Amino acid sequence: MKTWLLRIILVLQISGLVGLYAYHANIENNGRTYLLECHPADPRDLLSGDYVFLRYAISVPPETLSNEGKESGNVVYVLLRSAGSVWEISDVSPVPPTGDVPFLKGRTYGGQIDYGIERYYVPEGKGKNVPGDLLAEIVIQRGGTAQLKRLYSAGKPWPK
Amino acid sequence: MKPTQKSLSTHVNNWVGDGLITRDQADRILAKYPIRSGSPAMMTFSIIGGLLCILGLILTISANWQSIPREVKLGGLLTLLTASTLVGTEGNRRKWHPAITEISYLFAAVLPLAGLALISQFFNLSGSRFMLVFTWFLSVLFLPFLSLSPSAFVVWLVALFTMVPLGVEEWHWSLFSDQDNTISVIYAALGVAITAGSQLWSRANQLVQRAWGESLGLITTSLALFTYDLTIYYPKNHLQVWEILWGIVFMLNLLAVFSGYKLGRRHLVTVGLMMIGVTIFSFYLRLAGSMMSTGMLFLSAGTLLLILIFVFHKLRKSILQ
Repeated sequence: MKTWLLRIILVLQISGLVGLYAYHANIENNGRTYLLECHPADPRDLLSGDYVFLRYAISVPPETLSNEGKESGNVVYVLLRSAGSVWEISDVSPVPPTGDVPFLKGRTYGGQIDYGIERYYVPEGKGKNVPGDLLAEIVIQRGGTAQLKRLYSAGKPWPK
Repeated sequence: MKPTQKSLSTHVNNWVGDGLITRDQADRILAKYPIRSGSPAMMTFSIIGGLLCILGLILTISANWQSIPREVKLGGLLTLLTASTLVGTEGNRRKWHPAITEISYLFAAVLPLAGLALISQFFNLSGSRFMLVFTWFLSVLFLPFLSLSPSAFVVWLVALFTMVPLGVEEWHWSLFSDQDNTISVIYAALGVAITAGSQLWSRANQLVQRAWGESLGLITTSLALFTYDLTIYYPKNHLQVWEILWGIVFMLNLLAVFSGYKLGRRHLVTVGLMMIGVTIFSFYLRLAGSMMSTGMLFLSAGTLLLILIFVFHKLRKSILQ
């Protein structure tokens, strides 16, 4: 009986991990993509692999906007508008917007907004010389959660 | 070469045939010897060979990590997860060496976290760390109770304990003046709950898990009470309670030593005495720390530590005799 239950748990664990992988792979392959300006804030080298810590132009809400982005710990919805090839903040709201406006869900922290796309994993040793002119290609899921797809520098994917 | 059941069985069967011993005596003699011989040299070379293979595999994978497709990486991890669970269950059923079963269940408990971390790496996800650990905890929620594995239970406890600071930090909980104190209070309560809950292992006759639960619960509660309001460098405008809390830790561990003595639970005596020693030592440092020069403080603290270790070692031996 216990053996069967353990096998059921194993199947659930495998299904969960495969499902999670398929979910994110589906978003990456089929979701609409947006380009955001960003720069490396703190290249790190951890046991989990090299990654670049990114700060986005939309990480800091403009002073002209409401105070929604100022208090730490709040969930906010950042509405985006096109500015040439990249996207920038048009408004910050405590509730998700209605209509067909692209928006990102984030959490405020110390006057900045974290979107969960601040970390980009790179091959070992490539996280040390990071170009400053990065563009991030992201995919936005329904509900505003973002997924970072790849980085570009000077119009080419980075790292090569 | 040491005698084994295999090498002795011919002789013993002959003795039974000659009427020197009975069948029952023959079985009892054979039962005293191992079934097969484990030659030390063969065992040593097997272990070295196995370790070299594992090391070579790890080095090959890590050297080619970037070029391995995502699906292969995930597939490898899922294969390991499947193998560890199946080896664990089979080891339990066929009464293999407990170490094999425990190591397998340890992998079965930890690998789901590795899988989640791997998927996060694939898709550059850097979201909630609390959700990561919470998902891991959910995925192994029933594992220790179905496998009855002590190592899976310890991993389960680690996952549970890790969720507390991550949750408090993420949701900005400040129920007791600040986040640090909130974490301390939750840990203190969780330690008590784990100790109490671990008594249920007695029903399944799983005394190792009960011992782990009691020990980790006691240590957690003690350390949580120790660290509550532990800011000594800034003046406080409210009543400091550390003397009371440290006193409670002392009494709690004294009670643990007494319970361990009465109930015959050695781990309670050991952990209790260790925490009492930590309390006495910490009291001394906190009270004398600002009154002495660094040299004198180090000298006296070192002497006190040596005395405590010697006295508690003697005390433990006499209690456990």
